[in-house]
Amino acid sequence: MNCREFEADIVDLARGADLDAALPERLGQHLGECAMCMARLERERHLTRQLKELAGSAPSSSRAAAIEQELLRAFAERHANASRPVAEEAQSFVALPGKRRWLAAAAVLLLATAAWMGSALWWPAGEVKPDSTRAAVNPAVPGPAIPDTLEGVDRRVEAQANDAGARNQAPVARAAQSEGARVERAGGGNVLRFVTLPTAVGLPGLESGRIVRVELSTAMLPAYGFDVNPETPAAVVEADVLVGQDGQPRAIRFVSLNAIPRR
Amino acid sequence: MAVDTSTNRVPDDELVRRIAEGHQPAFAELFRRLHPAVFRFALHMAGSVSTADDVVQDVFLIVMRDAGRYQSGRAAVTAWLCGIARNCIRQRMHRDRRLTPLDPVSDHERASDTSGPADPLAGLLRAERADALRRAVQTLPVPYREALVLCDLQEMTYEDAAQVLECPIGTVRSRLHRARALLATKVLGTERQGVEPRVDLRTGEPDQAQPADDAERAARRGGIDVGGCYV
Repeated sequence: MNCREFEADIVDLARGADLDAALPERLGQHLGECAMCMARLERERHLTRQLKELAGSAPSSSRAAAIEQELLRAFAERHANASRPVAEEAQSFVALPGKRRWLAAAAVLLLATAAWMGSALWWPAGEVKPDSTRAAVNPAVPGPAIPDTLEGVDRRVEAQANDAGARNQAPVARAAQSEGARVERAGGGNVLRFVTLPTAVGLPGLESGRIVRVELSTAMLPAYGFDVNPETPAAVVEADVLVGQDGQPRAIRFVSLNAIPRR
Repeated sequence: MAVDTSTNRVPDDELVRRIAEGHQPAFAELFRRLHPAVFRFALHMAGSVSTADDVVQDVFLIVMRDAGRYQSGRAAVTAWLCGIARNCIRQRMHRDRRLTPLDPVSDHERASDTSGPADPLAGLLRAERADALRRAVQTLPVPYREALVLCDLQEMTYEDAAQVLECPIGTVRSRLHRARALLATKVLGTERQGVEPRVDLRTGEPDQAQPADDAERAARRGGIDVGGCYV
C-alpha cells in the first residue's frame, strides 16, 4: 500500500467505520513505514474526537414539550370526523375502484350543481350579483338585507364561491372550499367553509399549512376583501385563517357568525 | 403526558404505519424518539435554535400528512425524517438567504454545555473548542456541511446519508472527505498557528497564490475564500 491508497481509507479508519477484513492489517503495515501518514491519521482522529464532543454538546430544544402538545392537538383535529385533509381526499379518490370512483364523481357533480342552483336561488331575480371576488356586505349593493352581524358575509361568500365564476379560482381556493365544506359548525347545522382571500390569488399552490384562530376587528375586514356595513358598530369576529407553507394567508373561515361587541 | 406502554417497544417503521392509520400514541412516541435527531440536524445545518424548532414542527406536520407514503424497506425512519428536514431547511435558506439568524446558539446554551468536568477551565476550553468547531461547520458549503452533519455528528451510515441526500454513497464519502479536509484546515490550523489560514474551497487546499498582505488580512479576519469572495 502506498500513501495515495492509504488516503482513500484514512477517514473511515479515523472514524472507526467498518472496514474490509484485510484492510486494517495493510493500513497498519503502511503506518509503520510512513511517519507522514501516521501524523495525518492522528490529525483525523483528533478531528473525530472534536466532532464527537460537538455532537454531544448540542443543546436540546427547550420548546419540545410545547411543540409536542401543538402537534398532538393538530393530529387529533386532523383525524377528527369529517376533517380529512385535501391531499388525503385526493388519494382516497384515486384509490377507489373504477365503478365507485365514477359514483363518487357523479355525487360531486350533483352536489356542485345543487350548490350552483342554491346560489342562483339566493339572488332574487332583478338583483345584481357582485361582479368581483369581494364579498359585498355594503348595503349600497343590492342584495339580501344584512344585519350588523357577519352572517350574511359568510352565506353570500359561500354562494359566490359556488357560483360558476368561482370555478376559475386557483387550486388553493378549491382546496380550501373542499376542506371547509366538511367542517360543520359546532352545535349548529350551518356548514361553514373557507373562503379564498383576494390576496391569495396568484400565490403558489397549497402544499402544507396551518389553521390559525384569530379575532378580527370588523374594521379590518375590508383589508381582507370584505365590504362591511359602515353603520356596523365596531366589533370583533372570530375566524380561522388558513396559512400556507410560505406563511401567506390563503383563506378565511368565520367561526362566529355573530360579531362580538368590542370589549 | 403519560407514556403509552403499547408503543414504546414498537419499531420506528411500525409507528409510522400506525400514524398513517390515525394512531395518536404512535405519533407521540415517534416524536419523543426522533425529534432530538431532527432538532440536532436542523440546528447544525441552520445554526439557530428557533429555526431548528420550527423545522422540527414542520417535519412532524409532514409526517402527519404523509406517513402513508413512507416505504420501510427504502430508508430508516430517521433518514426519512432528516430528508424531510433537509428540504425544509433548504426552503428556509432559500427564502431567508439574506437574513442573519437572530438567535444563534446563545452564550447561555453554550455555558450549559460545560457540565460534567471537575475542572471548570477544562470545561470552558472544551466549550470554546466546540464553539469554534460549530462556527467552522457553519461556514462549510451546504453539500459538505450536510454530509458532515449526517455522518459525523448524527453518526448515520453512508447508506442512510445517501438516502437523505439523494445521491450515491460514493458522493457522500467524497463530500465527507472534503468537508473534513476543510474543517481540519480551519480548526486545526487555528489551534497550531493561532490564526485561520485562507483556504480555497474549490480545492480544499491552502491558497498559496495570494499576495502576502492579502493572506495576512484574510488570516486576521479568519476568512475563507470562495471564488474570490470572503465569507
